[in-house]
Amino acid sequence: MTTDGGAVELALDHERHQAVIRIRREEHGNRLTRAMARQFVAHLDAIDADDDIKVAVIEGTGAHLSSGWDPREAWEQYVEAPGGAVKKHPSQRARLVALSDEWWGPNGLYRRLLHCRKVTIAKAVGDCYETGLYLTLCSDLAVAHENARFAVPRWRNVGVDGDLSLLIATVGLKRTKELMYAGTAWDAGTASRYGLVDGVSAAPDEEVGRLAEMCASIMRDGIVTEKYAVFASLAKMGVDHAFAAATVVGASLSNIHFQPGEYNFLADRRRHGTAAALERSRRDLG
Amino acid sequence: MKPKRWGTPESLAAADQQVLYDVDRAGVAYITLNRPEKHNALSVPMRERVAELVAAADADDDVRVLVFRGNGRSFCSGNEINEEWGQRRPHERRRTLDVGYRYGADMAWGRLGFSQAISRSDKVTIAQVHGYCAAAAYFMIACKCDLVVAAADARIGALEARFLGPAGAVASVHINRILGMKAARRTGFTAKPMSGTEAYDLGLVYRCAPVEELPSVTGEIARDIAARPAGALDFLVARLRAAEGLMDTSVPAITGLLVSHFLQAAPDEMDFWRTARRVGVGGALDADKARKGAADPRADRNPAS
Amino acid sequence: MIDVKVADWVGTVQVADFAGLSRYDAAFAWELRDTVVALADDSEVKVIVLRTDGGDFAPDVPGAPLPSDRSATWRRVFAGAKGLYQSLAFCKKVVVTEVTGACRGAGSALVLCSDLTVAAEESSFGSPFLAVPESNFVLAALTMRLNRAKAWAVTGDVLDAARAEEVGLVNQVVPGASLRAETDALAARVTAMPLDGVTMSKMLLQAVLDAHGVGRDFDLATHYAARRRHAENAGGGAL
Repeated sequence: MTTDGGAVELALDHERHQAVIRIRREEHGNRLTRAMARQFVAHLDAIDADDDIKVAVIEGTGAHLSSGWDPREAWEQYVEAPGGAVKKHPSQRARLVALSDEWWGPNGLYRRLLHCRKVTIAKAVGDCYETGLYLTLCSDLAVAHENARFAVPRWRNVGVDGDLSLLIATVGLKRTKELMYAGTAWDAGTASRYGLVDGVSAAPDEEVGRLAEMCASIMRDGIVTEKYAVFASLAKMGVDHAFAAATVVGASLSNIHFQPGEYNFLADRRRHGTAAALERSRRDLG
Repeated sequence: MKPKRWGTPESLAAADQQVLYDVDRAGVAYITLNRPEKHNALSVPMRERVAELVAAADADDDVRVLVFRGNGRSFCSGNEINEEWGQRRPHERRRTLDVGYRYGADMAWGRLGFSQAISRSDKVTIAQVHGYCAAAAYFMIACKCDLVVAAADARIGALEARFLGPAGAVASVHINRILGMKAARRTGFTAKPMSGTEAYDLGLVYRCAPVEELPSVTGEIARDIAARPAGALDFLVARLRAAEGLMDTSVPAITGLLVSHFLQAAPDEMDFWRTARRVGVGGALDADKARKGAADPRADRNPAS
Repeated sequence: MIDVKVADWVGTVQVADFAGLSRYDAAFAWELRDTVVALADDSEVKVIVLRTDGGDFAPDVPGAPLPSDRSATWRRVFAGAKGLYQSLAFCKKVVVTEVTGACRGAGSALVLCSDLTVAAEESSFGSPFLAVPESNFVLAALTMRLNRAKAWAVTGDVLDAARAEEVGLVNQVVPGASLRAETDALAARVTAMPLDGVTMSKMLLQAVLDAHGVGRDFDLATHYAARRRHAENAGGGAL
């Protein structure tokens, strides 16, 4: 499993009742590895268990919140899952287990963030692609830097394999489809107008601080009670169902056959390296 | 046996004058909250009367549109929070599950409560909102109506979350479907109110107007709708109610509600009711506003503009 | 007359206008439905564009006949799972509507069932829910948010193109002169996705939409049509 020195850090400020989860892998655009996702989840566990923390801020060091997951692990994660290395191609159960355990299942990053018992606030800066977009979506509140851009470029390479229920309930159906099919990247103003973020700021630190202080002024009992009401609504709105469906479709899509002439990201990566393939596959975001 | 009418002799006697009802010739019925000295805070008997008046409007073929509005400086500041309403013992307030269920569910937003009488009305419902539209007025009236017409500078939101704790209300499916996921949670976790203009941008409000023009603008919208063929409105409302049922938007998230009657302030947090016993509810509200991190309900800025 | 072209992964369906659907022209509707299903089954197609000759997308049809909930034809062609609207809403390819001029009644039902919509600046959108009982309100609520969809239905408001974009009913508003070029460019962008990716993502979408109540709202179309007929009879005339 690769980390390349990347890490997810946790800082606690008990006096102000705030925690910061900080993604630190600047030289790779804060692209998340599985090891980092697990660190992230461990920090959420710590925050949930800490009675003096009411609010968690999600941020990245450097220019980007997170510009995706680490493509070098796209295949490796299936091979390394239970039942993944029995034959030449990973079993379907290995693919399901990997997608569930790391991303969409009860202890996967996104579902775990969505089910944090404290208020979560994302600071969306620079490229918020794939992982960055879903961290924004799964947080309770989000503030975007003026330079933020939201997209899932990987969907154009393989098809749509992420949650759609939460996305549709947040930004609307046709805009979700724009993100799905048109290779669109939303700038900060568009994301704000669509309801993906609570606001746009040239100085998001200040705005996040102000929101965090407001949330931290609400009683602990109230915050946790409200979060459980949110969980009940998420279940009722089909978000848990959508996460399960995304896992199944994601696993199915890992069996994709390309038509002649269709762009194959993994093949491109094998031939020209990760950086070149990423650059090519993201070049024409709208 | 007849069910008990909950309330004190005073609040029961006052309710008829605190919730007024009239129907104009255009087929528009008005339910007017008339307790201006309390920003139209709703007592239990007032909520019961609202439910009865919605039933009366539903039964009246001449009524096509039902408008909710408030006299005085505000539309409504929510449910009366410091009320004797016939609990078995005064010290109980809402602190037994039996009493909590009756107060929260039967009298407010459960299937038998007044808010669902509004959301299931057979008529087109409009909330005419000015001043404060807070707490129950936000999620049990405004968000239950088909249309909201708001003064541009109205203050709409779960302001009570600040000092009583959020009551699970803003997690409700219908509010998420009206405002989007982020804005719904913003109102609960920051207690920051929306202006009428912001609520328009989010999709809660159908039209904004300067406060002095609000009654005429609302009246015109209501009369235009009432002028549509009766059969068309009858069909459309039935069509919408069915779809709302399918989307499960008419029933709120009940989960947080009963627990919310038992919320406790931690030693380092302000205990609203203890403060209120010392300096009164008004004094406790002032003390709350002075706290660090307080969202000023009068502030005019977006949460992150 | 339905004109069909397939090129570069895009199937383009062109008609004079879609008002025939508001008139409950079953032959036209079934031919359109068959065309959509055939294109969806074509492995050379990733995107289906619904386009008109350039006039109104779907003008108002005053005095259109009442759809009969008792009619087997109406159920098969319009309201049923294999009818036109569900063939579009649950299509396994991406459906793009290109709207010029007036879009009313069944035209707006088509827009709601399509994935992406490009609209000319002078286009405008009336709610379909009164005239077309088989149109899907849940789609409207998911697209525009609940209260905007309710207001669109009960007020009879016609949304201009700019407002339709603001509320999320259309994806792009462009000058009429460049409408076709913009629609073609959008369709071409969609074709960058692998064919398998398009179809699997539509399967995911179908599961999610069904969980939201879209399928259930379609399934109740017969009840809505009956309710509408009841209202019209009770009201003593057309709605």
